[in-house]
This record gives sequence, C-alpha cells and structure tokens, in this order.
Amino acid sequence: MTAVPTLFKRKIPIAMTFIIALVVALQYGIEHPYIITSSNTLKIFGVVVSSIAIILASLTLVISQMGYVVKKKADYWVGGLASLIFFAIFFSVGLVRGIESVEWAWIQKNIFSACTTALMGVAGFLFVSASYRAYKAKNIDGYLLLASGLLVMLSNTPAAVVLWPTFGPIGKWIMSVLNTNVQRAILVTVALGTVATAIRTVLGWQRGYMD
Amino acid sequence: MSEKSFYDKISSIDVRLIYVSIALVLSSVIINPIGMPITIGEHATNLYNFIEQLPEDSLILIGIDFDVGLYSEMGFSLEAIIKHISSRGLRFIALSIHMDGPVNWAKANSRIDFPSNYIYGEDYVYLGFIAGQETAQAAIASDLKKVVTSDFMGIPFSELPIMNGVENSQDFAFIIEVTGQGHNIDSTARQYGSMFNRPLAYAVAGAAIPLAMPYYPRLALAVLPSIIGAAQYEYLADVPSSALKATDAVSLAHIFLFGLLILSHIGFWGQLSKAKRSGGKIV
Repeated sequence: MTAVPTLFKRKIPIAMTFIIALVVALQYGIEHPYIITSSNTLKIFGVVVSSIAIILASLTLVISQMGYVVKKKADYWVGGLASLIFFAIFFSVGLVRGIESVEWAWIQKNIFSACTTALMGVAGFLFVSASYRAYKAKNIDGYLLLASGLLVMLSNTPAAVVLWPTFGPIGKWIMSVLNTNVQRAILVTVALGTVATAIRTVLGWQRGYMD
Repeated sequence: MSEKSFYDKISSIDVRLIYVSIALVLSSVIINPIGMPITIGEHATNLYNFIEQLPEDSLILIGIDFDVGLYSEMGFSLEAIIKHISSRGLRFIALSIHMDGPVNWAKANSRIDFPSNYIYGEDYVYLGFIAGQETAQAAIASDLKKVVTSDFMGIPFSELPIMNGVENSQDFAFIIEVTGQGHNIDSTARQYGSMFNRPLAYAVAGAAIPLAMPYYPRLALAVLPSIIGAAQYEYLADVPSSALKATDAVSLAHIFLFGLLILSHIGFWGQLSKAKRSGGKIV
C-alpha cells in the first residue's frame, strides 16, 4: 500500500533528478544536437521555475506579514503593516501603470533606491565604529590580520599611495600572492565538495532538496 | 570611582563623536573637493586598453548585478565603462540576474549622456531581470533568444536590430560583470569564462575583490576595485564624474579609519601593560 506514495514521493523525483543532471552534464562533453537542444531546454525550464519561485516568495512574504499584523505580534506588526502597504503600492503601480511608466520610475527612485542607499550609508558609519570598538589584536593571528588589513586599506587609499608609493606594491602582493593563493585553494576545495554533493544528489543518496 | 587613565579614555571614545567626526570629514570634502592626486592601477589600465583595441563591430555583454544601495561603489564603474564603450561606438547588451538590476540600469541610463548617434535598439539594449542566477546565465550563454524574447520594455527582438544574429555567448567579444556578490563572480567565470572561453572583466565591490582575484589574470583580464577603480577608469577614459569627485572622501575615510584603529590599539596596549604591571586583567 505504501508502494505508490513511495513511487511518487521518492523514486520518480530521484529518477527525474538523475536524468536531468545527466542530460545537462553530457552537453559539456558530447556535442550531439539532441543533447544540446535537450540541455538548453532544461536550462530554460530552470529559469521558468526560478521565476515561479519569486512569485511564491512574494506570496509567502505577504502571508507571513499578514500573520504578524492580524495577531498584532509585539515589535513585528508595525513593520509587517509597513511591508504590506509598500508591497501593495509597488504591486499595484507596476500592474496598473506598467514598469515603463513615470509613476513606477518615481517610486523606484524616491522610495526603493533612496531607502536602500540610506541603509547602506548608515552601515558605513556602523562599520567604522564597530572596527574601533570591537577589533583589538590580542595574539599573533590578530596582529597579522590587523597589519595586512591596514596595508591593503592604505594601498587602496589614493592619497596614501601618492604619499608613499610602496603601499601600492605591498597591497598588490598581499592580494595577488597571499589572498589569491588561499582563495584558489578554498575554491578548489569547495568545488570538490560540490562535485561530491552533486554526485550524491544525482544518485539519490542525498535527498534534502525533497524535504 | 577611579579616574579614567589616558589609555582608558582613548579606548572608549563616545561612538556619537565618531559618527559626527566622520560625517563632518566626509561632507566637507564632498562639498568642497580638495583634488587629491590618484594613481592609476593595472586593472583599470588593462580594461581600458582591452576595450580600446576591440574592433568597431564588437558586441559586449554587461551584467548589472548589484544591490541598488551599492550604486555608489559599482554604479560609477558601470557608468564609466558604458560611457567609454559608447564613445568608441561599440555595441552592448546589458542584462541582470539580480533583482535590483533594472533599478540600477534606470539610474545609470538617466545619468549617462549617450552620443547623439548612439541609438537604443541599434547600438545598445537592456534585457531586464532574468530569474535563476547561475541557471539563467547557463541558459543565456547557451541560447539567449530562447530565454529572452524582448527587452526590458517589452519591445520584441524583431524590432531591435542589435539582436540580429545574437544567439549565444560566442557572439560576444567581451563580457563585463558588475557585481558585489561572490556567487555571481564564480558563476560568471564558470558559465562564460570556463565554458565558452569568453574574455571577462569584473567591476566589484570592495568586499568582493578577494573573491574575484583568483580569476585574475587567466580568466578575468581586470578586476576593477570599487569606487577607486571607477575613478581610475573615469580618468583613463576621460569621462570625469562622481567617482573622481569621491576619491577625496575615500582617501579621508580610509585615513580616518586607520587613525581610529591605531588609537584603539594604543589604548588597548596601554591598558594591557597597566593591567600586567598591577597583576590584573582586562576584561
């Protein structure tokens, strides 16, 4: 009796994952027209599914914020109400007037862009004060981090490089020798882990995406 | 209550004083730029030289993939690069896999004075936001016209002469990714650089420079660093604008932060040494 649910809940999704991954992976080795066409079509399916995911995310946002407002959850319902109001404004303007309209351009520039830029600007002040208050070098690792951070920062400071040109080559050496080699090692390690995870997913040994 | 020592005082400056000081320092040089000199880095030079030597019929793909709040870091790079491309008469197609892309495009488009003979639809086009992150890039790199059939305003490709003959990433002479996110840097390198061997360049946020450097110089011929890179590029391309004006503020902000960090550590080391002498600890 459990065979049918298992078929639909587990075996078919695993088989689909395997076939799709195989077709897309084969494109990178076999230049057969059927493989290429199928692979390209599957990639387009991925774009469509991502677009649907955005709609789903928007609905989830509305539902969760409405929950805060209806239940009048302390410290949450005011932000929830503001989210819903602005969501309604953007959605209705975009739907009724279109994204090429003057109204859409106005709310994008004067609400969305202005608020986001202000938030990022405030973050800059926070970063400076947090660096001053929280960052104290207490051991050799801390001193190395402090020294390298300050040197890279000064190499990206135009006035400092003009005052003492050696800041430039020092910063460049830290970024291109120390940083780049470590980042490449991390990239290779991550890539190996990704390949291992992908193989496990494709073979159905890892089913976290189905939960 | 014991009086605070000199080291205690400089370790515990009121943060409001720090906020006011940095606001005054930055606003003074933004309102009245001093005109501090700048040096031109190799990344800006590489990118400039590469675009200069591209043939006149070249088509460039520009990815506009950064948060709208980071426009002051990467938007100026985007503007400078587009101004240079348009002044040379090269064509470009811009698109976004980041949701804020259309907002950034609208802002850049309103700030750029295109040459009178540089026509939308013939010389440049913006295709809008395409969902899917790396999946979208993979689809675009393989078969652009199956993914997108019109531009951001809904104009079909049949009415956009620039899209004639454009099938996949092989039709692009060069790809520039303007982003602040590490995963966009990696996905661009994978989908366009590794897969299709397209020449790449990045214009990235300051925090993302270390993430893009591993791809330099083999996959990416330049990694334009934040607003400094934008200023250098504006100077090279002779399109002075907001980035060059902001270099004074960048210099002073960095020097201010450098001074604060040194001050906090002098205070910390002083407290440490005092605690060691008296046999106590700093908590």
